[in-house]
Amino acid sequence: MLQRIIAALLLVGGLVGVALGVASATVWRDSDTVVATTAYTGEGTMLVTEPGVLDLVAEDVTIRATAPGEQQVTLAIGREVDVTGWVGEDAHGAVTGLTDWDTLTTRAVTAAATDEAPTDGEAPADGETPAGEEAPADGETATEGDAATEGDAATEDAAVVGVDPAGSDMWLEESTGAGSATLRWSDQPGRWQLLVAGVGEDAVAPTLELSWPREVETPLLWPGVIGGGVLILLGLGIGAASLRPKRRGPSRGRRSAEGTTATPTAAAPARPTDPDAARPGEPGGVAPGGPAQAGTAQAGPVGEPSTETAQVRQLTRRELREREEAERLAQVQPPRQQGGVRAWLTGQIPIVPRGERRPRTTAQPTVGAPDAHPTTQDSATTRADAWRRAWGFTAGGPTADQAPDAQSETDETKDSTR
Amino acid sequence: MTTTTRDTARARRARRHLGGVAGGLVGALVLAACSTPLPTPQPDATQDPPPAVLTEAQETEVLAAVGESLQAANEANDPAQLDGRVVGPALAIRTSQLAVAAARGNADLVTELPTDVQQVVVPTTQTWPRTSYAVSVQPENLQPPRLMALEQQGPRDEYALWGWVQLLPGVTMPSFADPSIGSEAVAPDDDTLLLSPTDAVAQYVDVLNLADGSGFAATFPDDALRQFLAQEAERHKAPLETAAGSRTMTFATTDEPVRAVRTADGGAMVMAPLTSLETFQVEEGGTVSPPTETQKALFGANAATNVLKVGYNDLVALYVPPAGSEETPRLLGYTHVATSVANQ
Repeated sequence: MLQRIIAALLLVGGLVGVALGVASATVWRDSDTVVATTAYTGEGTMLVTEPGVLDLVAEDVTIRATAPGEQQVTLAIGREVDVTGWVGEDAHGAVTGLTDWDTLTTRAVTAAATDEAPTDGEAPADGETPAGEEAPADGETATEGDAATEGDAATEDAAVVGVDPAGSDMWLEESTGAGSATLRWSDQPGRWQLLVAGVGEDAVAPTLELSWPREVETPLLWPGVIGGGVLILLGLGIGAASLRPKRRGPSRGRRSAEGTTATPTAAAPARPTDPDAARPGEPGGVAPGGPAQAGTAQAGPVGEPSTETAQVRQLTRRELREREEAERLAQVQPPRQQGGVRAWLTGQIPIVPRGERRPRTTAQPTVGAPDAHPTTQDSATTRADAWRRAWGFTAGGPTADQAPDAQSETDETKDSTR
Repeated sequence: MTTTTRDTARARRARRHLGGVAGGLVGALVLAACSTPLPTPQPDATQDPPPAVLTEAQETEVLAAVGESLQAANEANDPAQLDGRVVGPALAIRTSQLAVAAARGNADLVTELPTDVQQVVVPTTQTWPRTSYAVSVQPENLQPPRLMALEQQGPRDEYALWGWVQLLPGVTMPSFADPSIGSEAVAPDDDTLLLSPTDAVAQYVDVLNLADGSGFAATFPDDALRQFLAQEAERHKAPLETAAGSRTMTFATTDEPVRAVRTADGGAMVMAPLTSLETFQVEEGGTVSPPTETQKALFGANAATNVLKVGYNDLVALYVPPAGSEETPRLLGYTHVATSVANQ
């Protein structure tokens, strides 16, 4: 049982392995493009990719930045020193890499502390001019106070408009658009940075999307298929090994029936474990145990589940092997002794044909008889004799002698077969 | 007895099988789950020496932008069009030239500045300001080519024309590193040269003021500017003598630091803005009128007195050889443009 369970598990595991391997190269195959976006909500109107981010996945990258509404967005690629210099002390988001295959990591870089204090001071002042004294300022902080950094950014934006980097002589590539901008870039030697800027009043940092083409590898395909195949083969092997004893089971049963009295008792319960034991010819072949075995064999598959049968089976299996070998030896050495029994047991195959053929030949005695005399008599006379014999016209001495012989032979065979 | 022991052994074996199968399954699942690892940024190393900060294409674009700005200002005769693309001494000179052109109704005297160039010198300065240089093709009026200095004063500023000189006829320009490599900026007090850039300019100014009387007259070979000044002095000498007049020409350095860039031989090309003041004085009661069209335009409707002061904006470009060189510092080109004329 356990072997069969293991075999089944191995088969299932192997199939699953193959399926996983194939799935990894088909259903689960990674997309041909990697598309990663930022989710930066921090301070500042700009995003800056650190050197090495643009060619993170592949040399060629398609850059797309979007901003809410019609806010102008500018993309610019420049050398590290140039971009860093351009951004200067302003608050911005630094894009440092991939968090996962869909998300870019961002890190907030705050403006220099000395700059922040005055801008905080200025912002309320700006707020005061339209309405009144402190109330508007409080109102601002209240509405925007939920996200502290957002509030700061907003107040700063009120003071500092998002500056447009477009048009600088330093950029190698740049692109500007309302609401969104796109740019393609192929990596070059050097340290390059991308500057993404939201431009205009109340600008916010745009959302950056980088997409790279990717050569998708399917490293699990062949390991999965091969590993799964090995498991399947193992399962098949074990399954075959677990099935083999069952086929030997009947012969074992036969043996036990023939052999000592002690084994038959064990063999009898063993039978039920082998559903195949109830083979058509064999149980009938063994004269003594036949009916009992047939009965148990039929009952066996139904009432089997007890574990006792497994124990018994183990016992008999080894004995079986020994006996089977002994039997083979015995078959080789004294074939004739068992011939009679075998003729009964398996006789339908080896022996019956003989008997049948001979009767057929006896049915054509005219053919058989002439064979004995072809040298002494002409074909014509033999035909005539045969004809006569067949129809009982003559009872010639020589022919009469031959006929009984032929009949006796056929009779013997007839007797043996029947 | 034997059956039980065999049974346990078999069970153990089975368990091992089961474990193996389970392990294989788990392994396959884990392998399937963790696909290719996330890449991390691997930027190129910082270059040393630093790379050129502009490509030749960028330099060309800068020059084109400057050219457009100059042309727009010329066409509109509006110095405001120069905003952002012409700065410093160049802006002062150009503004004055445009004013003269407007006064005269003729732009002939506005220096032609071709922005098609035959040579560019790209800086490697990683901070600001950054100065790039370009040698133009010969202008259509067949004057000598111009040497232009383009400066980016801060990271958010554009490269702008900071100054230009007309190269001396027949001058041999020093050679510079290829634009793709870039040329290093030289500090005003650099000590790897025969003279520091600041000292070279100061000594040359002394030579201009004192001519052969300068102690540095021998340091610099005679050049077109010195000859021009000598000719001017000679030309005005006789008329002024008749009116018991005098004329002085005084050059001075400005607060603006000199610009210098390394040449291929380890020397430096130095550009420095200067000012000069030409003063005519005649006897009491006499009058001195501006002698040139430009000066007349600048002078306008003012009444001539016995004093005439003509202020010039100048730029000189010098080559300073490296320390220990056999060569001498020499003038490469100059600009000498009258920008103010006063009667007292």
